[in-house]
Amino acid sequence: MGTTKTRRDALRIFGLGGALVVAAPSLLSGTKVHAETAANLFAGKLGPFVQINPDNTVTVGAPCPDMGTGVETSLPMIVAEELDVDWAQVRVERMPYALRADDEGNLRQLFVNRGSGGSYAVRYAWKPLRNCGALARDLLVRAAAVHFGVAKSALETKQGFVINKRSGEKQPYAMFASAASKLDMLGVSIDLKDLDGPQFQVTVPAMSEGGPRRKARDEYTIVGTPTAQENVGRVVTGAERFGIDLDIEGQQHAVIERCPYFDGGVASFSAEEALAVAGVTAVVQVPSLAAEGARFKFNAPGIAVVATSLWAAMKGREKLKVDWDKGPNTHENNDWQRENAATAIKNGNPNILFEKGDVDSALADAAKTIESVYSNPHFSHLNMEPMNCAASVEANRCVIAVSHQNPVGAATYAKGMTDLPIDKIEVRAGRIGCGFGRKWSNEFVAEALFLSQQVKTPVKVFWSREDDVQHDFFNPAGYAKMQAGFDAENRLVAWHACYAGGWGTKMRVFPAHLIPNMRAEHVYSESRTPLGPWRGPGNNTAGFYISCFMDEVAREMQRDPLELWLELLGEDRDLPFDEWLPDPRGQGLSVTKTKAVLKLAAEKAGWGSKLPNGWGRGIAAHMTHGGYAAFVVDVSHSKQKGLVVERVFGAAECGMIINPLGATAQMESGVIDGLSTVLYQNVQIEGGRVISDNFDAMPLLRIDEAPKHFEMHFVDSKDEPWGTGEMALPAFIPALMNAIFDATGKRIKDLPLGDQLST
Amino acid sequence: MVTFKVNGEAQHFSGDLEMPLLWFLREETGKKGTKFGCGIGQCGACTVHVNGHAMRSCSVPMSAIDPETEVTTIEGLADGDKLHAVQQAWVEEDVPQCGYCQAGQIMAVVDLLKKFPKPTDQEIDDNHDNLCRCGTYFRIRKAIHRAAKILEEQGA
Repeated sequence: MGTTKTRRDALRIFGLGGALVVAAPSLLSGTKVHAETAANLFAGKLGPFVQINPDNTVTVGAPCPDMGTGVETSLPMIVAEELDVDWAQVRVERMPYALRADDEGNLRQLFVNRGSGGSYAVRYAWKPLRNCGALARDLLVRAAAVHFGVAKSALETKQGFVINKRSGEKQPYAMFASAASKLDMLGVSIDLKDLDGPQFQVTVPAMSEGGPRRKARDEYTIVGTPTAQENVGRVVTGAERFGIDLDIEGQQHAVIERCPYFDGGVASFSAEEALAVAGVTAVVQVPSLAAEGARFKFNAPGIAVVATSLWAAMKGREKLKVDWDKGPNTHENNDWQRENAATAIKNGNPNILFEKGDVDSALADAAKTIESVYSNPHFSHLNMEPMNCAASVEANRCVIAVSHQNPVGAATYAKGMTDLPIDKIEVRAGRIGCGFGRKWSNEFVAEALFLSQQVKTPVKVFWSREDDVQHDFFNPAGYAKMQAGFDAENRLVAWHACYAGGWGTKMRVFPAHLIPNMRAEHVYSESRTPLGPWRGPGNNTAGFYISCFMDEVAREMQRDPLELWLELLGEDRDLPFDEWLPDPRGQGLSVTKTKAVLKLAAEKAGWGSKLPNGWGRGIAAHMTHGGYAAFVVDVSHSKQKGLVVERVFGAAECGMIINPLGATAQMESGVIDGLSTVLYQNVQIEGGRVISDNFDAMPLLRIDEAPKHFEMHFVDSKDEPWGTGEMALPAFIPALMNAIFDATGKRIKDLPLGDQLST
Repeated sequence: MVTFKVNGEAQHFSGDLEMPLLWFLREETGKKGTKFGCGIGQCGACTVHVNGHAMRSCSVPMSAIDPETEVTTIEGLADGDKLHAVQQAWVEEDVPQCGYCQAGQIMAVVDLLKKFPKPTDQEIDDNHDNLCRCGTYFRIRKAIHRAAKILEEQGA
């Protein structure tokens, strides 16, 4: 770990001291502001993200919440790189959310997209962070040029110092910080840009227009260097503060007995015994706080017990007596959902995702066809930090203390609920103890806001693990019918994929375009089980259906699956892709990148080499949110040890790597999550409610089942950086399942694996 | 009322004896490093040392605490500014991702290394079962081996 930089510096959290908005008041005026000085525009900072301290340390803002994806390290690394400082000088500061009204009064995000999701934090923030780092450096150099009485070109910077190239004199950035903040910003402005929705960004003139110098990639000393998470010192000493650790002064505690039935409610309840518990101060009915017309429940209505201590609230909850209105969905259970999906495939009205040629005729005319049905249950998020939120609503002020993937969304929701102006709503953001999409929602924020409004004190709502599982917004259960047709020469001429589930699956990826006749369809299968984003939404199961079926096709053709994929992919090129990507401009579906990751994984694994007896090997690739991943997985299966994942070889093309340690960690994370999902994710639904509740009923993978041999290789990419958080799992799962088939001859088509190998 | 020690400091408790130690630590002493994960002793996020042994504090009722009890939490593991070998190994291997489960992981591994000073992979598999949702197991395994080495060098 010689090249790894570690620090154990305390991170100051903006907002805890009451400082809410980093932007100066002029930024919130609603009219386009052209730059004057940094002091005016950025409250003395050198742009939105940089503050030079008197001891020549540098405070760099981390604009996006970190749920274990490393963005509170990687995003500041980008700023620090262009600022040209030593990473050891950097203190990272978690920035509060920031919004600014546009000319029509609509609130827009300020500086970068402030959420964490869709693997886009790095993707969206990369350019603005680069520009703002370079801007800050340029201001310092301009101030130094005045000080030295020389032209800018006579100066250079290195690791937080300005050096006079002629005299060799060297002075720290800190010497010029004050003067730099008073300089005219020369063409810098803050403009509304359309980036997956309008947002305000700092416009910095390009180098060709005399703007600040941006580094060439071969000059980088921080970006691309393995760098430890900036908070590791706080984590290992217990000093890091997660949402669940944040208290609001004067708060009471609440737990909520929520209606377990989908779209059910409270029929009647008795609060008497709960109110008799020492410390319980109130029992409050929580209504459905949902917006009209929402497809799924927002919050589940229920009964809240409010108390002076968390323990008293939990004891009070045990004494509640509630009769539920079970609602209209008690017929829902796992079998019903499966049958319902099968019926939808047979009778439903499909939405066509991709079509080429005439797949119906091609299948009818085929010399041979194969058909398979793949399925998966709902997956639960199982974040280690369960949902929780503290809120304080007063007449002229609102505070939310929470770990949230999208603090802007939470603040905006609070604005709607309290009618307070946005600048009176403070979000104290904790580190997020896992999110995986779950902590993007606002119903858990709404509950805390509502209860604070009711009992007129700050309220912290605690979710037990059982609450967290039973009131999750799940990854959709899916059911996919796959058909392939071959001509008389055993060539693949037709591919038909029909997916039934609550919402779409990402079926526009390969083999789209590659087969003469292909159609991919989605048919809606009615269910009231609440759904939400879960790592790699739509991709997490599409990879399983597609790449497992392609493995079946290869076996049918008596072809090596890697050879078949490479042959189908053909010449290097980009193909059209009509699907959401972060910053999709000019991006298609890349044959080049898919081939690169398949070949790299295969090469590192020694594809084609002989394996020990009882072992099997599988391969798969998948593109998720613009990142391409491939895996080769080796498994063994024996009566004594059961299934063992022996070796995993990963390859990824995700553009430039900001932090190799972070990127590798994300890929490892996806592999462990993928294996855990295959083995254990199996949300049980009975009588219109979730009955799975805790880790004893639905385990997560433990260390003894984790593969011992894991290699991750990144394609040396010239592309700009894409996110890494979601791309591993959708490619890993099919590689694993294909390896299981290779080892055992059993094609597992229904997740979870369960005891399917022992029967 | 019972008086006992947490990280060497005297603590007093006179409340409901059914309350788990976890909530005393988090809510009454303000030591938030010990985390809630499941409440049924499955995940290990709440692992602390009770009289030197790793215990899941969500499943230790206050009735089990007596005046002789000494509890160590993650906040009390380092010797002032000097990190414990396991913490040091965790930093050097950059183990955490979200970080939520890691205090529990570290407290469990400190105890594991008392029983198995040079653990084999098999001994790790058989004796360490804290959950990590981020999937940091590869680095946890490396860090356990590294910590064993540091402890050996320290002559512990």
